[in-house]
Amino acid sequence: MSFALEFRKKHFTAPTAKVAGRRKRSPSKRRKAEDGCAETRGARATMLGALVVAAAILAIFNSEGLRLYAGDWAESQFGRPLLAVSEAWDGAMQRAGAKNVEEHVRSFVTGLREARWTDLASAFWAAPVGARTIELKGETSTADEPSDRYTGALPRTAKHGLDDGADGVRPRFEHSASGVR
Amino acid sequence: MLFPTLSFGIFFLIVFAIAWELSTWPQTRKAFLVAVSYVFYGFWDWRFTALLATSSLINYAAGRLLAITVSDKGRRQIVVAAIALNLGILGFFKYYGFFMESLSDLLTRVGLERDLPFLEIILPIGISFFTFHGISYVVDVYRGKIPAEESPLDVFLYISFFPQLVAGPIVRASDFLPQLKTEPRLERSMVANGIMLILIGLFKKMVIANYLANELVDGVFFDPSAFSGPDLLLGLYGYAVQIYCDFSGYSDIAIGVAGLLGYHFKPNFAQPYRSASLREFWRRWHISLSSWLRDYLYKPLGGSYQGTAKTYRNLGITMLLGGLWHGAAWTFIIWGAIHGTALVMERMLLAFKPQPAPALALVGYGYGPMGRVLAAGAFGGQAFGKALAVFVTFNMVCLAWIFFRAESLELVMAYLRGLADWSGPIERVTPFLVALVTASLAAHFISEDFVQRISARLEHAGALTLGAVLGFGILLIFAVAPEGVAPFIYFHF
Repeated sequence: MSFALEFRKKHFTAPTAKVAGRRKRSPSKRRKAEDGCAETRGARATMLGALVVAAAILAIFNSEGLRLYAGDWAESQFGRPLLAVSEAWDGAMQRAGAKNVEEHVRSFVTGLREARWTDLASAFWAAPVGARTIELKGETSTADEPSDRYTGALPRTAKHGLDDGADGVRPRFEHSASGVR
Repeated sequence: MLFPTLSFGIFFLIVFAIAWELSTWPQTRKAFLVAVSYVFYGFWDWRFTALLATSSLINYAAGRLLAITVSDKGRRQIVVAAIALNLGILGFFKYYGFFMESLSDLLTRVGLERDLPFLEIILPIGISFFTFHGISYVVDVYRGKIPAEESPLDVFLYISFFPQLVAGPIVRASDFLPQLKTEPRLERSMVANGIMLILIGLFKKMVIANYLANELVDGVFFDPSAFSGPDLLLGLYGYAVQIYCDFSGYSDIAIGVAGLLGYHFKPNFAQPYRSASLREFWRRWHISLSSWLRDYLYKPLGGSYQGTAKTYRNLGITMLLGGLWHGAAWTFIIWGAIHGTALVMERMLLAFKPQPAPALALVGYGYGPMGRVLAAGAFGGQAFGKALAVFVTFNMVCLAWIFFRAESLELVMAYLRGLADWSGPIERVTPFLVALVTASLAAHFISEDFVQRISARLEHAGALTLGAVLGFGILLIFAVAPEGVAPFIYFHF
């Protein structure tokens, strides 16, 4: 290769190719970084939006929680007006019926918590248990009936969760969720 | 500040918004996260923030010294001194009272009663966790896994990052610090996964753990002699479920919150009660602690590379110290000893157990009807064996939980006696509690990627849908859960 050609390649052609190569690579890298940033921005906006929506849902349906929280700060100067506002808000939600959702769920769970094996048995064998309950309503307790400490957590006899009265033990429904007593 | 409170909700909303605004200024973002982590910690007792800062400073200084020290001997001395300082702080706050009481008892028994310098020491919350984080950093720098940090901000953030500060998971320095070097990113999958983890964690803690604690476990462990065998048995299974839901619930929330801030934490629990051996159990239970103990205690002791006897010794020491880490009481030490002994026995049994013949070893019968029947029989036998192993492992773990939960050894004995006595009235075995325990245990056998699959469905949802899922999810959990927020069990450790 002649000196002129070598000089031309070294000082004019090669640097241009290098720069062109660099130009070719850098946009994809930059695009990747930009894509990452855009995705982060999008996800951040989504999450921030979700947090605001969740806060609004809780403020509407769990206004009591807001009132109780404001109550914790009632001592402070900043807390007093907050408490007044949260009480007014809670009252408004009560009137609008938004608080009913939580109350319904709570009462449903309370029913489940207080259910006893006898209630469970009555759910599966509704007809005989119902008939038996009516039959037993007028009976008086016998002397050897167990004390009130027995909560009916487990049936004394296994048969349908009800006792047939042979050993003097009567079925109890004190905690019946269905209201049977 | 507890996770399932409105205070934390407001705190997180502010932190999330500001932290991502600062994402283009990494140093400012780190400084902000350190500051809010100290606010989070100071909510319990602001005086202990100085202790947290001191611990971070010690470990940062140790890292810098390791970076400039060339000789092996010097580096070893630095790492030993740093570990001793870390353990010294932990020992003083956590074990001083226990050692003084034990020493006083011992002196009284040998007739040398003395007035010992007893002190009323408040246990700083999360001290066991941030001490382990500090040790992890120094040892990882010493081992060359990570370079010593030049910026104290990174070390301070690693040790005090609020999602993992008070009850773990114990994040490794080599896992967390490299994440601080890159620009934090948030993807839609991380958002969906974070929301799901937060909801699942809240449900586990607020509903399952709190109901079991209130209505079953606290009562039976307070006075076991007042309850019959079935109550105590359900109470024991209930505690197994409670501690799992309590702690894994906290870990889920912590992982979810960290993910939403752009940091990845490894899972801390993987359906532990489906384990068919204790070895498997420790690979699934509190993974960050068991792997920490394996890498920073068991292996430095020699691990399983120095013969059978030394392997058993190392296992015993590791589990014993693991028990002591959980609390300064003999009950925790015995709990660790039970696990250590059982792991050793399991290894012994496995060493003598013949290798099971695979079902396809019945090649002599080919794939004809006889081969299929025998293969099915072998498979059935294996399935039964596995089920039996899971049952035995679970009950073994539950037996050890009695020592972990009971306040004293007398109560442990009363509990064990009560478990054998089925004559009294049954009070706590209600359908609700039985269903709660059974369903929670059954959940261990669903697919391990269940959460990921649900998260994947939420990945492309908009802010409104995600907000509705989060808002109504929290509303439902609060409506179903018992009133009040009980502290997490692992806050005491």
